[in-house]
Amino acid sequence: MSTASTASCGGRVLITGFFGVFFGMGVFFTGMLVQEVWQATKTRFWTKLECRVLETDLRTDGEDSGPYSLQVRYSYNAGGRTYESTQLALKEEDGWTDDYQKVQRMMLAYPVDGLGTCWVSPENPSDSVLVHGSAWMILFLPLPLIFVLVGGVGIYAAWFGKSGGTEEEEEEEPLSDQSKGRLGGLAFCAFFAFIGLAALVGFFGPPVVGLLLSLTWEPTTCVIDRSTLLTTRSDDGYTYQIDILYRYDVDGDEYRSNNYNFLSFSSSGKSSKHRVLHRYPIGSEHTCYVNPGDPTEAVLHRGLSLGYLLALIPLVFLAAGVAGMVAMLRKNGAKHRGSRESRGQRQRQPLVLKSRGSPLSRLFVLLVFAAFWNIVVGIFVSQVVRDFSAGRGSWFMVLFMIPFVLVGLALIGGVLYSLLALFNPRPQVRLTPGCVALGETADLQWRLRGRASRLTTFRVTLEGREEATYRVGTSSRTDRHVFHQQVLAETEDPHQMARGKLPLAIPAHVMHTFTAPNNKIVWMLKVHGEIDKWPDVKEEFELEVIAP
Amino acid sequence: MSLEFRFREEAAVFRPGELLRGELHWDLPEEPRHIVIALLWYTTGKGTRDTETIREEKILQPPRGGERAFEFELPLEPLSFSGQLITLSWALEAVVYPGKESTRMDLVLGYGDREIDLSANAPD
Repeated sequence: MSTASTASCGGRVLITGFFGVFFGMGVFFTGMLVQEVWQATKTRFWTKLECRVLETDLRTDGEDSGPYSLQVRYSYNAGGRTYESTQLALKEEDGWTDDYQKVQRMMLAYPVDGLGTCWVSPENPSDSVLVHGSAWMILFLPLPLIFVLVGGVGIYAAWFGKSGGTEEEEEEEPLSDQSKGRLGGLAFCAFFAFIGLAALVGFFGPPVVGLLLSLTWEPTTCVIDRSTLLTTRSDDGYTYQIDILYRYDVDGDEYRSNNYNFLSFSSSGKSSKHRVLHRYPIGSEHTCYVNPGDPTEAVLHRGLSLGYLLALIPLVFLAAGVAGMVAMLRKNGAKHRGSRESRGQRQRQPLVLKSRGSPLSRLFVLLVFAAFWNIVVGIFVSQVVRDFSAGRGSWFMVLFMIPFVLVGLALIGGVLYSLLALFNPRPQVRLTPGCVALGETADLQWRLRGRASRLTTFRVTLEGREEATYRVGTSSRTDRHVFHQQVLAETEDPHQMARGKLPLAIPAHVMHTFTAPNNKIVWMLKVHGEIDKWPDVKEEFELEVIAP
Repeated sequence: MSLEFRFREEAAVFRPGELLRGELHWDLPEEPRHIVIALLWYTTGKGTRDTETIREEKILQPPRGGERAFEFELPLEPLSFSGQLITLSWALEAVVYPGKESTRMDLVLGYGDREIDLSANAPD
């Protein structure tokens, strides 16, 4: 065995260990979730029996899992014996809810002396329930499955993937077979989009549908019976939820609801919720909206709230997945553009070239990255400061943090630089025809929007370059090599900087624009303007050069 | 076992849009399920390999030995080239299924008498 292959084997073991952690964690949490869902739903497989309701009462003293619960006593016959039970759900917390309407509906469904349905354990007939546990956790199953998928694919790629192979190993497989493997990327993007769509529909579908349906509900006078803030403990601290219980009459019958709006969930932050509670003191009268088809259903506030903006999170997943799918399908669609028919459809009209990375997008990317970096570093720095205040500071931690803080400061400097560059004159470049063939000449026109007189020098350069992307370990790198460079215009005259026109000749014996996933031939028009004591104007415009 | 391409005229460079005519001859130890003749391009060099099959012809349930004439219209691009980082080559490939025994013949697609050489006029 050669040294190279031994090193490669060691690398594979390391990668397997890295992805093994992902895979193991994914399998562990998937198992936990499946077991939890099974515990919550196993009563659905118990024996279904008729039961008689002996007593019902509505309790309002629950804590974390909700303030409302139906207390019920019922009897049923199993195996020739009569049993009595007060067990509503298998897990006690499943019997408590923060939704009053749910309990109210159950009270109507289980009137005293009425008959209902209960589920009895076949192994132990004294064990019975009236309601099943909730299986909503199953919605989170894709999350650990992503870890399983990433880990599994990583381990598979380490041992059987092409990236670790040499060119000779690649040669073993027919080339026409290698060009058929792009479905994986499409499937990954589709999975991403599906997660986004499922989260969007699952979390925001019911509230949005409820909101729209409530527009036809009857305005009714209601009186506030309870106005309080529910507190839920979690590992990360406390979260709070508005609980306003109100009563209203429909056709002489009294109903209650605690549905404030359609998007009420427990979250951190108390002050805004207290402001809402102050508007609804106990005993005050308000207008609520009641579903004429089901008077147990009502809502106090049917307007939009900031909570609906959370829908943007799954929307980002959905948009990213769909964008990825579109990009991949486009790439596939570009396969046959070398035909004569498609050539005729190419852009022959004048074209205003698009800048590759406008100053605004550069600023945005840098701002997001700088904010993320400095927030994370800031958390650690504040911890170091707290430790020193408490007299247990570590100088090792200070030294360790210095490089991270310096990078953070450099990023802030970069943001300021990009911000100043926003006020630079912006070049606009127009090419006629919009794409040029090798050996042909096009008309190039430019115009500077803004004060061109601020520039001391101005230069337009044509550049053709190779861009090759390859993988090193688990990261990818791109090498660039310029094969053609030509200064088209260079001036210090402000009038010529502001507006200009010249013939753009593309050499005949070079390569046209070529775009493949890992290898590219790119043609650029680079505009560079120098400004004294200010960020320079630097923009690149990609142009399409076609074969003759 | 033999699997080879034959052409009536020997040409070093093929022009974009030209018709590429040839024959595939094979003599195999067993009857294959099918044979695929593909016209494709592929890259070599620094970057991870890209490859794309442009035209394909499938010979279903062929005999153990035989020949098949084929004809492909060559596309207008990408042209064959060689640079410092990337080389793009065209090829005709025949693959026998199952087993994936294959043969490949490299071609040059271009207007000159050889592939485009990007290092010829590269700046320092």
